[in-house]
Amino acid sequence: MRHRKDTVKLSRTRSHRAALVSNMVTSLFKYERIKTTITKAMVIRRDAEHMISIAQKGTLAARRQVATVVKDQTVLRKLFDVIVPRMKDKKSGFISIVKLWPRHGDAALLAQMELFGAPAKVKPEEAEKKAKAAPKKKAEKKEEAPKAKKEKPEKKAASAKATADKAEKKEAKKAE
Amino acid sequence: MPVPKRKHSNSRTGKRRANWKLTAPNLVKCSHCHQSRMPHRACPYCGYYGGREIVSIKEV
Repeated sequence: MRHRKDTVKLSRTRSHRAALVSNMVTSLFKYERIKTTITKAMVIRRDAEHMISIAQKGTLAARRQVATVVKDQTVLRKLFDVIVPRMKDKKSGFISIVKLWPRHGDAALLAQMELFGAPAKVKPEEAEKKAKAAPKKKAEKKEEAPKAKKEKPEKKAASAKATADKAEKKEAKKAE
Repeated sequence: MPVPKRKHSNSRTGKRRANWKLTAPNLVKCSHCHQSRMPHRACPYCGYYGGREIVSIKEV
């Protein structure tokens, strides 16, 4: 029976797990948007949302309670002064998790965690680079880059097509 | 101690495994770049999910 076994252990000892949660929650508040595995994301969401709920009280006691997990003073200040005011009309759903794709290396499904009301662009610098790169690019780079761009999507599309084709064939077989 | 009386033939192994089947993933079209992608995941080609760019994809 697996009754009441709600703890995800993440293959870590209790103290290791607590340290991981502390670090990850701090990172989430610091960067507002973090990429991790889906399993860790689900574990960290619980603690992070709990911290925001406590922080919404805004009292000194609340601050000390949150400080046991968020050990970075600057991040703690940011949580109380920047993040919480943004969420004053919310009682839950402070964090959204979007599933991404399997990681190269161990095929663990990645996910992105994002605080409610986080700055819109993923990485402003990269967006700017993209915008600049498109019209201005040097002639040499221009020739090289688009080729590489084209090749990859084609390959991926081909494999996607292959799987789609297989699916169709199977369905056809079933129909027969 | 109980032990098997007969060799487990290749045929029996094959019969058991005949029921192992692969199922094709249920792909959907990305609403932004129209590539096939997995449902409920950000698109690995354009990084969009739910109508906005979730992650920026590095073009190689």
